[in-house]
Amino acid sequence: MRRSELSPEARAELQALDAILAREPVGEEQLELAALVDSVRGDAPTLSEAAAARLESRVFAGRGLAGSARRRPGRPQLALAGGSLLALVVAAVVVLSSGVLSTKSPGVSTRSPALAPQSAQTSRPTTPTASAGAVLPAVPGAARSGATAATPLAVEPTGRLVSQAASLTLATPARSLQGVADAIAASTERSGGIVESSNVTLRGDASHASFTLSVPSAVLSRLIASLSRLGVLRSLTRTTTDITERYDQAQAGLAAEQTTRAGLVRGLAAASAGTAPSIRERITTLDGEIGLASGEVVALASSARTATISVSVGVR
Amino acid sequence: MTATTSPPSGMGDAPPGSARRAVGATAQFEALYRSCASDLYAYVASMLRDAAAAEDVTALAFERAYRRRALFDLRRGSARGWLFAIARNAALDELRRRARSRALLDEPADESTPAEVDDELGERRLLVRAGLAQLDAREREVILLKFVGRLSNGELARVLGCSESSAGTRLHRAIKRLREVCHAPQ
Repeated sequence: MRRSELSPEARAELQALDAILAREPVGEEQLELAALVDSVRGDAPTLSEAAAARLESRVFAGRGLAGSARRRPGRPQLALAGGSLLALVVAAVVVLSSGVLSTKSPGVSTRSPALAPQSAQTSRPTTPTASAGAVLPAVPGAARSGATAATPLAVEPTGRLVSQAASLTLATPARSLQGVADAIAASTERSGGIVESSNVTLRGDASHASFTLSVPSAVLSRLIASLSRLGVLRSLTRTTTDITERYDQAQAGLAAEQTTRAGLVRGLAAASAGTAPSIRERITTLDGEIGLASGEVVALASSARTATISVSVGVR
Repeated sequence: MTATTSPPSGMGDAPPGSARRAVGATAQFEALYRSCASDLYAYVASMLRDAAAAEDVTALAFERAYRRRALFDLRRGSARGWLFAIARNAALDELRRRARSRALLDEPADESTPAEVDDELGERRLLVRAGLAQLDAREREVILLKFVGRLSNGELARVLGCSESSAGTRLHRAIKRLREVCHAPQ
């Protein structure tokens, strides 16, 4: 499709996107796009100080480059002209919340009513299981990042593969905040999960802490219950997404591409000098597709195996 | 779809024997590192969902770029786009390696996600993360390259191995689809 087929609105949006990414002013009508960009960027993994130092050392090792003068690459935050961060957040909530986000209010609000109650029995250890015509793989595997050695995929009793996430807000007296933060980390580790990131600020009544936890899906409910007892539960949001079809499709697509590639490789062996280059080109193209398809399967399996919990602790 | 990492030519670089130009090229490489490292890592880590592997692939991409810097040709696009194309291919190699070893399904997600700064922002990120996960691999990739890698549409085209207009179209469709899945009732 040629660019001319893009509507003027689409072209304007792409221009606005470039402006947002360049941290240039954008109009109010583009705040939703800015919020989308901010969310994707804000959720992207970041280099820790230690990882940045390791990377720099590896990249520049033996190259005779000035090491100490180098500063850690910064990660510029999006500064949105035409609207404050608060406006951005408000706009984002308005735009993105319809039908999906629950608004914050005192008390516990649990979403995803269609979900079966989450408990250990909703996630069963996965042995090869027939699911919508596909076979879910067994998940042996010691986890590299500290999860349990055999972390099962989250498979509902119906055989559906699900991805789970939760967001928790707790309140505690200022003097207890550090203890609560420690307890969150300890509970997570006891559950076989890991603290992906944490931020604890102790400043009297302005103290707060936030965590992103990655835990085996099977223990999600138990851990939520445990964390909820560490303070006053202000809000709880749970989301569950059925990814069975996507997983099956991704696996089938990957298998088909691998079969095609194998055929091309066989064809290459018998190809003439004239046809070999085009076959090689097709194989190269297909390799890219296989890489993407593999990534899709990995991502889906990972999202079913582990659940993410965002915990925010404030002072009451 | 394939990225054109094959050497363009010459990263502002120096004919052999020109020490002065070599110093300039070295400084350019450092500048490239400083301006791209964080975004490149974020992009690769988003693709691989594995912090350790992302670190390896990011380092590998810079090492390859350094080795091939004499082949970089500014006329064929920016150094940033060239570097991202190298990184993309390295990331795809890593994914293929996992597929071959069949170990891919044994590795849990290991994303270093920044702490949520407040509840609404946290929920919004959660929502967008879930939405991104619902996109197909091509859609997700173009979003990550643009949003996280901050590539221009020309750079995007180079990385994806398509024309700039096609890259723009793919990007626009992916954004539209991301909006749709974020708004879809769960």
